[in-house]
Amino acid sequence: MQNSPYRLTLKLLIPSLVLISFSVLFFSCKKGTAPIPPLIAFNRGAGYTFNDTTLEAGQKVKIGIRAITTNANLTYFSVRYDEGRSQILLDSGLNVPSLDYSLEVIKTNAPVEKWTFLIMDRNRMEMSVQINLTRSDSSKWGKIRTMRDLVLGGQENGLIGSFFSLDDTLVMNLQQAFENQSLADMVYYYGQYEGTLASPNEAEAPGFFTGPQGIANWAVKNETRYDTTMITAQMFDQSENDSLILSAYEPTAGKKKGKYIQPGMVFSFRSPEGKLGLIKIVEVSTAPAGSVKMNIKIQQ
Amino acid sequence: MKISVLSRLLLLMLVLTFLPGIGIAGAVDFRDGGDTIRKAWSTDLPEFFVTATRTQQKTDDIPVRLASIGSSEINIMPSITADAMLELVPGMNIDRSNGIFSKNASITMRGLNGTPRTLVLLDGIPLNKADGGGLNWNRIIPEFINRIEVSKGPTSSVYGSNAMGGVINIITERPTAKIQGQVKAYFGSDNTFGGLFSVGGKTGKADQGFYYTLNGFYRQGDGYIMVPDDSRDSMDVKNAMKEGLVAAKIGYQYGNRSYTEIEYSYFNDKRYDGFEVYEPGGGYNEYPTHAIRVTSNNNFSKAELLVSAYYQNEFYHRLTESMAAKKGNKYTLYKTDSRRIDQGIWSNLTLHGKKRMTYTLGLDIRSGSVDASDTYITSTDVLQNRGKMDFFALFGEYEWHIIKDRLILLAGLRYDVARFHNGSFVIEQPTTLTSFMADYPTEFSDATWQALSPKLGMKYIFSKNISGYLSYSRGFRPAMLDDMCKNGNVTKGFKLANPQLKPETIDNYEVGADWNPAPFLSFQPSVYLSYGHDFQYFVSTGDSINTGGDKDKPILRRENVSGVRIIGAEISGRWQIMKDLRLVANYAYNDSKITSFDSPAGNKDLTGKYIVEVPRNQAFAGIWWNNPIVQVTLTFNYKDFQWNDDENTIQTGPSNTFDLRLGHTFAEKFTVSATMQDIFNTRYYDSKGNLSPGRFIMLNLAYGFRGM
Repeated sequence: MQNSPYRLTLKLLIPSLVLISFSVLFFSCKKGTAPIPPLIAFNRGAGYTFNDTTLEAGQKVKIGIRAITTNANLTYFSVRYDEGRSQILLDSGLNVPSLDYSLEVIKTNAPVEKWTFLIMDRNRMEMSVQINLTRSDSSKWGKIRTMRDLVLGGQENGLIGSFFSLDDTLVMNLQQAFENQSLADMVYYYGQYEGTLASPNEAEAPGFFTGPQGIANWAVKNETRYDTTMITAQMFDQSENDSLILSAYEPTAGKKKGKYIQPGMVFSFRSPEGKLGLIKIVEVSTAPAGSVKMNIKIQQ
Repeated sequence: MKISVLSRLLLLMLVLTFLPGIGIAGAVDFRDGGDTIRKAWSTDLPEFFVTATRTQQKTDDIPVRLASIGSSEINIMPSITADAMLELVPGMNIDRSNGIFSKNASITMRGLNGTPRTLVLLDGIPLNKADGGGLNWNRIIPEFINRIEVSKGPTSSVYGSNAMGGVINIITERPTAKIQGQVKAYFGSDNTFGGLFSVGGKTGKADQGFYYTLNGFYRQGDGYIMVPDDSRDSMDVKNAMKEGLVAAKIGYQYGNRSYTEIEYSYFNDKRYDGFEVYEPGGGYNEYPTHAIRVTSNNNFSKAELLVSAYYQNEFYHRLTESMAAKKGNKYTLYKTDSRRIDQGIWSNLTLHGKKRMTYTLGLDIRSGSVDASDTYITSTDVLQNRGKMDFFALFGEYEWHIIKDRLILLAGLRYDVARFHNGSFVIEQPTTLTSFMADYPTEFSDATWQALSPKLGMKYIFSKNISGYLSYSRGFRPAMLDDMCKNGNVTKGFKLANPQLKPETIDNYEVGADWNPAPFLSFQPSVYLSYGHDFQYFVSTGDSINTGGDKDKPILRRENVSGVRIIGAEISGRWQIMKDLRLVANYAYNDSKITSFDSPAGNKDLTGKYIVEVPRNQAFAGIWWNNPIVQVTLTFNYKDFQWNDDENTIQTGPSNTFDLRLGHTFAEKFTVSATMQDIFNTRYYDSKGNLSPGRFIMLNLAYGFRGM
């Protein structure tokens, strides 16, 4: 009689012990795989540049990339630009089996630009391709268009519009900009970073231009990229071609807004259409109902 | 139609009234083989208590507020996790807002917030890690616990680090029979199921012989979606989990309170975040942990020597997956691998001298380290941080029965010295995600700090039924390695490591009483006033940094800047209404305010604000009714609202939940039971905006055995 509880105990204990032990071990084990790097190559189609090339400063070329996974999905793609120091133009997290990417490059003033396109997969296996763009010694500087004493109003300025079209040299208020969304390249507002030049697709601009015609409701939001420079007002005034513009241009540096604008500052910018230019701030009144006066020089 | 809390309580009482009459059966404790019927709710304090002084001492002689939870209560509480058992102790603020699917629980006490401010021991070994200061409550399985002891108020004079609010000591089972154990299977809501076994035995006589235990546990569940229906999208998925533990203990007993034992345990789990972009199941956390300890307690006629050595190695793995809508749906995936090692040797010698005096001397050596990396999968970045903290401490304690069985004095002093070293933070292959961190130091200077923790307490026993105590004690907690050697993004900005961070301290003045007006009735009130010094808060350095988004973030550093004042009171009561009907209730009040905030200009002054995550009022009531057909336990838990942010602009709560357990024992060895948590399905939001699981039911079938 005394043994019967033990027999029952063993019958219950042993399977439970085995089951639990295996369960614990099972999910603590990890499978191992031998990863193979993903494949990446330049697009060799018509219109694409895929070999090292010599270009004139300001000349545009198109570079295409094709990447495909070998076993695990592609999780990272980057475009790096090196003309003496490495900079990142694009960092992108993703999760795709293949990738097609194209980039329009404007040759800067740098003697040699090395562009690196890197792909990484879920197993952190990397592969990259590179192309060198060399500036031609016979480079000729391009013509520029100058816009003087352009005035944009702040978000609460009822008299002067806040939006600007670079191609049309047109200042628009919110209603006009809503009706011509594709023309609005720049917007000015006074906010957290004081006087700010921004793009319609910048994160904070919709908070200042609200309502049914507010930027949040726009179907098209252009993107202009701004970058601060060390260029003086005098250098700006003296420039007569795009050499200064190209010298100031750094492909990786542009932001969707230029902050804390002050008289005398010169910003570099790249328009939604890919034209490069410089903005000199002439006057700024520090209020949402105020305005900014500026001069612009842009590639023709 | 909404039903009030009171109506719900009355409704339940009404249902219970129609159950069969009160019988004579008791709750079965399977760790005793199921043969022993114990008095349930035996939460009266045991005769001896270990945790308050690190040596076995008569409970009545200790001028500290103590609490104990026995295995009989653990068996019948409508709780599924070990931390929930602590509801029985007043003023314990338990946060496990996602139930068993929570990646961890947090327990704080005495008006303090933050897990690192409460020391938790497992069989006398500290579980708080040097890295983050916290511990993994999921490692502790309630069925393997013999009892839980709680010593309230600062106890750093004995334990040093982390013992600011108090000490919780979880004591596991030591077998007393030739063979004993249990097998249990359960199935519940959200397709949760699992099982456990426990087998142990002891040879020889009562005070002599070998003993062993072998425990195993496994559980898994599909989880639930934590995001409310109206804001849910296709990426919100269930927060599934699975977990398991194996533990083995072997020891030899060679006299009354003389034994040497060694224990090893391995725990692993996987708990998903409930957010899936591309990874199957989404991001998750894993805490595979190896722990080993050796304890030797040697009781001589006039002395007792306790030596413990321990080693805990937690390999923390996390996969983080996110899609940032604010950054144009930028997808980020990275894994965190962190190795956290905590090890030490603790020892204390107790001498029983003449004239009713007892002396305890102790020496502790302890070390904690972290070696962690964040490896991005959606970029090339790899971030590595390392750091190590070594502790050395001496302490002494003196107990004097000034008047025999009437007046007891307890005084103690502990000196801790700690050294932070080998701190580094390195970034490899940075992209725009982390390149902004590259300008900051990668090697951190060594740092040393000291702490002196006194204690003075006095207890007067007026009569058999009433006693009172007065006490003063100091507690401290060291800076976390995570704050000393890791830069990174935090909610409010960008955090810079601060290797010079000092410990924060708290001084506590307390008065309390134990009153038993009748054999069936007892009350334990306490009132306390605490002053905290050098509390650590994030403070802006005045600089900002662009971390890749449109907005610049403030640069923060954790600093010792704040003074704190806590006024608190708590009371617990027990009423044995009838032989098998018992009521337990407790209430706690805490007013925890920041009284000074010594930060550089430009920071918000938090003076006058309340400490976050501290409810001002908390109440618990539990009724246990045992009858031949069903054992019924009904508990009610109320928690006042809590502030979520330092500026006191966002709050969560209040919350109130009812939990129920129904059990029936048959053939003396088998118990079938159902545990129903949050029976009225009052789902609430936690501080992150996630929903609690609501009503959760678990059915259990257990078989216990015991052979003499």
